[in-house]
Amino acid sequence: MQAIQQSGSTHTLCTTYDAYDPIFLKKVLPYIQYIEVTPDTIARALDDRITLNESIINSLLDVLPFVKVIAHGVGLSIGSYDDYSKAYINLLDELIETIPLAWHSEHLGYVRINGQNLNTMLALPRTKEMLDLICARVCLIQDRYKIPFLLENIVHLLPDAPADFSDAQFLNELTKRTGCGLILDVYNLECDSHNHRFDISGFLDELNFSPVKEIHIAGGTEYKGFKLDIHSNIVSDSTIDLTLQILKHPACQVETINYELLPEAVNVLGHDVVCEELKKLSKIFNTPTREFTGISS
Amino acid sequence: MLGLIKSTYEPCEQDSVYLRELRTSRELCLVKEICIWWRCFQIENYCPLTSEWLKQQNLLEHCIEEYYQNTNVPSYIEQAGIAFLEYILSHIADSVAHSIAAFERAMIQVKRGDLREYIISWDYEPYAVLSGILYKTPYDQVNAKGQYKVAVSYNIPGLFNVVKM
Repeated sequence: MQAIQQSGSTHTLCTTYDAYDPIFLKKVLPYIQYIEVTPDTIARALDDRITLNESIINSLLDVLPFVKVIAHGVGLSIGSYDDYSKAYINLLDELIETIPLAWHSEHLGYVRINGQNLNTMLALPRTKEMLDLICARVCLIQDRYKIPFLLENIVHLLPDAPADFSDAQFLNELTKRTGCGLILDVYNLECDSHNHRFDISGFLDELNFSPVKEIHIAGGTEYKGFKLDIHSNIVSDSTIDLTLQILKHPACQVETINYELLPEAVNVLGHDVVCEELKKLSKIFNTPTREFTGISS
Repeated sequence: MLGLIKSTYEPCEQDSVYLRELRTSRELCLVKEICIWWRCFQIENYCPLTSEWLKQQNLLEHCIEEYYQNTNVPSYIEQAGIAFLEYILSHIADSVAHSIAAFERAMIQVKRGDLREYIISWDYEPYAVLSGILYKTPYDQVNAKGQYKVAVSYNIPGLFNVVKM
């Protein structure tokens, strides 16, 4: 397989690869420059040992000459008061030993309380105490892996607990103290706006854009009047418009726009629909595309 | 918070206003639903036989809800699926549910490379029960009644065989 053409642009495009599907991977290559893997999702439990799925890793190694790989975890639980997940750190160690990562990232939330899995992800209380706890952990993680570490704004499923900071103030303080980067999930902002009347404009006005290295876009669904962050669909026009607005911000230095999809959604939508969506997004965001020879399906 | 989400704790006067208000919020109801929905989705994929049988008895959601409330559900489906089957084996008295869950657990273990042989007792003809699950049709409980042993092993062609006792 050989890349024979590339057109220039400011930003790049990325998508998710979380299930063994090398045909899908090769089909999306013309449109993307980054591929996102979720260590937890590509892991499997062998007896009591959690390890990365070898087939998925091998298919990623095959395309390494053409894309950069980024890791985006869900299981670190950086905001758990007792500790973050050592099992996730072990997985990340394994991934980083196997594949060179451009950067790695996690969600600014928690999935465990007192060692018990919540089986969902909740947003952090934006208190001074929580900020101190998160900053200390971010520094530890940055010391451990000498590659950039990004944190993502997550959907607020529950109403906010009493807070010392606004959402943007919390992120600004976090990045100022630690030097970590940010993922700005545009669809999550829309979910919060729909579900809790979150003031997106006010948030964007207050946010320091310099640390934002990656943007997440996705399409979800509505249930009982709630907009759900489920990564199951193509991207809506409103998400695209908001992303374009963010990209125009003078301080915006976003490197990649990541169209996130659950592996199950790739199966439901089909490869062709996902590729068409990436092609459309590439045109809208003016990201580079390439033609490949030798791609078999 | 954990107790609120798992429906195992009721906030009292000593708890914060936030937690007390959260208890009756529609957002908390949604979070609980999402947790159960994801567990159902995962378990239906990983344990299709047991899940489908429970679904046919209108017990699936209830069982998964109880399993979620009473267990620290592992993050990884290979562990969560086996833990669910073990939960069914220890919490559901029905002999058919036992046989199906034990059979499914044994098949998963053997496919993973477990070299042990598993023997599972059935009070009904296993193929009739399994066909009922796969084709979503009720089996003839009168004619299918009988004592059977199912052996599951890596060394058996097709991984299992059925012997009438």
